[in-house]
Amino acid sequence: MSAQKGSAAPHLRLVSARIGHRPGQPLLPPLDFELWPGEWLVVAGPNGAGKSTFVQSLVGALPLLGGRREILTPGLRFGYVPQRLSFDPIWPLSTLDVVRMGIAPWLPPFGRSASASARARELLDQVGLGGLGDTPFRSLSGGQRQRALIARALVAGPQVLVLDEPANHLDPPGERALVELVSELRERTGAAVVWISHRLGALAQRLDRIAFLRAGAIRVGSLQALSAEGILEGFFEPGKEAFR
Amino acid sequence: MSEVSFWEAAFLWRDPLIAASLGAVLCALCGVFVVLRRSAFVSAAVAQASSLGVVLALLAPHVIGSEIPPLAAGVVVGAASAGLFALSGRDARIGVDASIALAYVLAGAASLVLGTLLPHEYERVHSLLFGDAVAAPIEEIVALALCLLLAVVFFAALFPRLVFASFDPEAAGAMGIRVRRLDAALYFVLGLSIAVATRVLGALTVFALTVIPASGGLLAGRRFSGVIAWAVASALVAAAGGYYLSFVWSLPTGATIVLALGATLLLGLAVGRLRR
Repeated sequence: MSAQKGSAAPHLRLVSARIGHRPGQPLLPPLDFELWPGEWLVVAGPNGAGKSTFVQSLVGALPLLGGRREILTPGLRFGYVPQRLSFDPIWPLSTLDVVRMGIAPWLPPFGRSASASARARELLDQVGLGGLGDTPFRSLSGGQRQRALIARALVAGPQVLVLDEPANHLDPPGERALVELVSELRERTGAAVVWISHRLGALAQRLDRIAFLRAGAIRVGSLQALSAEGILEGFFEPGKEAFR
Repeated sequence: MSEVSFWEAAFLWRDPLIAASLGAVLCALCGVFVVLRRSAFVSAAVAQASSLGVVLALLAPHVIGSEIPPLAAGVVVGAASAGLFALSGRDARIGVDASIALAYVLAGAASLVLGTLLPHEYERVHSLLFGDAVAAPIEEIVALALCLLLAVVFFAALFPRLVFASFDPEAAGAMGIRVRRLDAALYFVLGLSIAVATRVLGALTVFALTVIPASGGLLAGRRFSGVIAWAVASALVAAAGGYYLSFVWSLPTGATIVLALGATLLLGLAVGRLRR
C-alpha cells in the first residue's frame, strides 16, 4: 500500500504550526504539513533535531505554540509505540492486559469492550506472540515487548500508527524483520505509518515520504527528491544500506 | 483482658468499627494506585499539608478577621497538595517522589512556625487532625462513606485510562488520554480520601492502610483484579481484627490495626512464594 495523496483528503493538517516545548522558543519555522491516509512517513534526522517533538505535535499530545491543527478524518485514532521498552516491573499485568490498554482512550466512562480481548489475542498472533497473552508482561524479552506494544497500538484500529525510534535496540536483521512486520500490518490495517528514526536503514525501500529535520529546519518530500536536492547529504547515501 | 465482653460492649465499638472498615476499604483502593505509582509517602505529605490548612484556618480570625472551619481547611489543603503532586510529577525536572517530599517538609515546617503564633491551640490542632480510631461521630462516618463512594465511582469510571496513564504515560498521551488532567483528578481523589481518613483513623493507621494492603496484594497476586481483591479484603480483616484485639487486650487501636496489617503482609508474602 502506498500513500493515497491525491485520491483522498489528508487525515490531518498543520497550518502555520509553531512547535516546541517552551512558548516563544519554537523549534522550527511556522510549518504547513499534511499527513495522508495509508502513507509511510519517516521522520528522520540526527539526534536532538526535534523529531519526537514534531510527532508529539502531530498527534496532539503536545499543544502547538501557534498556528492550528486540523483533523480532517472524523474520529481519527493514533496508535503509538514508545521508544522505551523497560517498564516498572511491579505492575501486575499480563501481556494481554497491556495490549488491551490500547482501547482505553476510546472507552466512555464505565465502558468496557467485550471484543477487546479477542482483538488483542488476534493481534498477538499477528505479531508472533500467540500463546503469550497470559504471560506476565515483565517476563517478556525486549523484542517481545516491542511486538506487544505494536499490538497495543493497533488494538483500537487506528488510522495512524506511530513508532518512536523502534529500531534503536535492534541489529540490522532485527530491524529488517521489524520493518517487514510493520509493513505486513500496514497492508492488513491500511493504517498510515509514522516512523521516527535517526537513520534510514531498511526503511529506504518502504517509505513514501521523509520529513527530515536538521539544524532548526524541516524538509518534507520523497527520498529521491530530498536526495537529489542534497538535503540528506551526510545522512543517507543512495545505493547503500548503511546510514549514519 | 477487658472486664466487659466484646459483644456486650457493641454500643462502644459499633460506630468506630464501621468507620475503620470504611476507611480500610477506601485507603486500600487508593493504596493500589499509590503503591503502583511509587508514591507511598503521599499519605504522610497529605497529613502534613492538612495540618498546615488547620493552622491557617485557626490563624484566620487573627489575620483576616473571619472564621474558616479548620477541618474543611485541612481537607481542602490536603487534597489540593495531592493535586499539585500530579502537576509537578510529570515535569521532567522533578519527580513525583521529590514533590511529595517537598510538600511533607515545607508544610510541616510552615505548620511548626505558624503554630508558634497559636501556642494554646496545639492540642486542638492535633485532635482536629489526627483521629485515633476509637471514637467516630456520625458526621465522620458519613464523610468517609461519601469519600468511598466518590473513589469507587472514580475508579470504576476511569479504571482502564488510569491504568494506561499510570503505566505508560507517554503512550497514553500520544493515543489521546489527557494524562495531566487525569493525574490531577487521581491525586485529588487520593488527597481527599487520605485527608478525611486521617481525621478519623489517625495518620499512622492511614499511612499503613494505603501501603500495606496493596503491597500484600502485589506479593500474593499475579493479576490486577487479584491485587485489588487482596488489598480490600486484607485491609478489612486487619481493621476489624485489629480493632477486636485492641479491645480485648486493651491495646492502642491504631497501632494494633497496623500490626494486623503487618501480619497480612507476611501472609501475602507466603502466598506469593507458594504460588511461584
